[in-house]
Amino acid sequence: VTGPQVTPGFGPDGHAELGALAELDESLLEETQTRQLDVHLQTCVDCRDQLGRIRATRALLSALPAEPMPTDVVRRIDAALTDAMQTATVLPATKRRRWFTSPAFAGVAAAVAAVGLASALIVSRDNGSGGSNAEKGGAANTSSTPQHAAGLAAPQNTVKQWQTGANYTPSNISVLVPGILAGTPTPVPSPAGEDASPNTFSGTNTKSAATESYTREQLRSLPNLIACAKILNAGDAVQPLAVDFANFKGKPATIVVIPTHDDPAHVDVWIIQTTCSNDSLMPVYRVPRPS
Amino acid sequence: VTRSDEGVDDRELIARHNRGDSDAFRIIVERHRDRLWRVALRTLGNADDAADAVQDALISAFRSAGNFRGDSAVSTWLHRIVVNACLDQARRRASRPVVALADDESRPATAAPDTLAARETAAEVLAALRQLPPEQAAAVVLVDVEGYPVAEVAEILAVPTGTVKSRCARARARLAELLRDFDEKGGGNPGSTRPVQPLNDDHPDSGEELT
Repeated sequence: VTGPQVTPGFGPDGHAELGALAELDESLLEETQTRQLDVHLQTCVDCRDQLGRIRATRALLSALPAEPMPTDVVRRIDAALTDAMQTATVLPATKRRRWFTSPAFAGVAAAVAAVGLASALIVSRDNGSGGSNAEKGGAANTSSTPQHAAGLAAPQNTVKQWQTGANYTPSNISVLVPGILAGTPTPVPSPAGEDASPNTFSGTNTKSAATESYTREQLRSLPNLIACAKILNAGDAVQPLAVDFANFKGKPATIVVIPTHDDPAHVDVWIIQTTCSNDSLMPVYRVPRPS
Repeated sequence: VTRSDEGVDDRELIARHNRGDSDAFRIIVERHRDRLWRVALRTLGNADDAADAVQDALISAFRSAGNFRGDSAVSTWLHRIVVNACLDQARRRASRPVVALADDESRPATAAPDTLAARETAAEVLAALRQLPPEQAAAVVLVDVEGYPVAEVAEILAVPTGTVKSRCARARARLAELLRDFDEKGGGNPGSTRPVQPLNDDHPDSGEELT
């Protein structure tokens, strides 16, 4: 038993379906169906009314008032953006301290500062001979190794050296940096063959002071690291707080953390992807200094 | 935001943001937020959900601006992120065990329609939009409410233009049906009160294959 034949686009009552009329209005129907509906509309007042209803709906939609975003939502989003910016602020070039504008630039030889700061007490992770970084990632080495005995105004701070293998990104910097500053870095799996972190800084400057350019690998040497930090600090000698031989956005990078100039509440996190030098463009992020 | 930035192109602002200019993204937000808000509010039909979606979207855009390739306009890119956030929000809402009543009427619009009747009509239309599948609501809001060209909406929604038209047609038919009851209660939309065939929402969106 078959039911009554129903033409596509028409209901059992013989009237055009609302959906078909809407598609007709949008010129979406096949030619045959379009013709059938056009013929029907010429004689059916009800269906013409329905088509008019669809068009009136469009008019109602376009007449909705164009209200702006409410002020409470504006404030809320503004605050969220501020949070996002403070979480890891990319320092614009204009706000970075410039080497040549620093009063410390004139007359201060980089090597002098490097020697002076090289007497810092270094806390270095001991990866040991076995096990991965991941297994030990959360365990700070308790031993401290004085690298230089000749203390020329040696700061009492320490430089923490890590090879976490972490993948730093703009959105996780503010999470990862407190870990390496506090000695509890976020454990991450160590990439295969990437376990050759030196346990301590080597003690000699492998570059001449005049070169003023250090590859990210050369920063494994403490004097080089300190010379690099001085470059990052616009020529003022500064004690780096931590260094992590890791990755940034999936590519190898050395992360150097130094105090923010004149702002004890923050630290600057420099990303050394190729070289640390006065003329290379290195990303830098400002994050809150953990208390 | 400095007034000297008024003439700066959106793409240049994205480039500045990616170079570390902390003001650049705020200027972009200031330029586009009202339109993004309206799209979210009307797609979701709920001010709280819309605020969540727009906030999520803008933070996401802030963080992913480095990936903006410039293949589309910044406005299109932002709308795409907001619409996707709205669709995510709608899915989360659909999965909630208890559906809260929308509270649009409880939140006074900053620029309210002039008359009570116009306000009632707007509230009814928003309530009807809320009953559409989110993909249809997004399409019809972008095309009919905001007046964007179908081609641009196709880019925002990442679907063919035929799909946009099909979703709009289905949305309008459904809205016409939903608003019929409002007419019968004395609303402002003229039209006959002949019962209409209910639309079958279950059959596949045939427009997906259109181009």
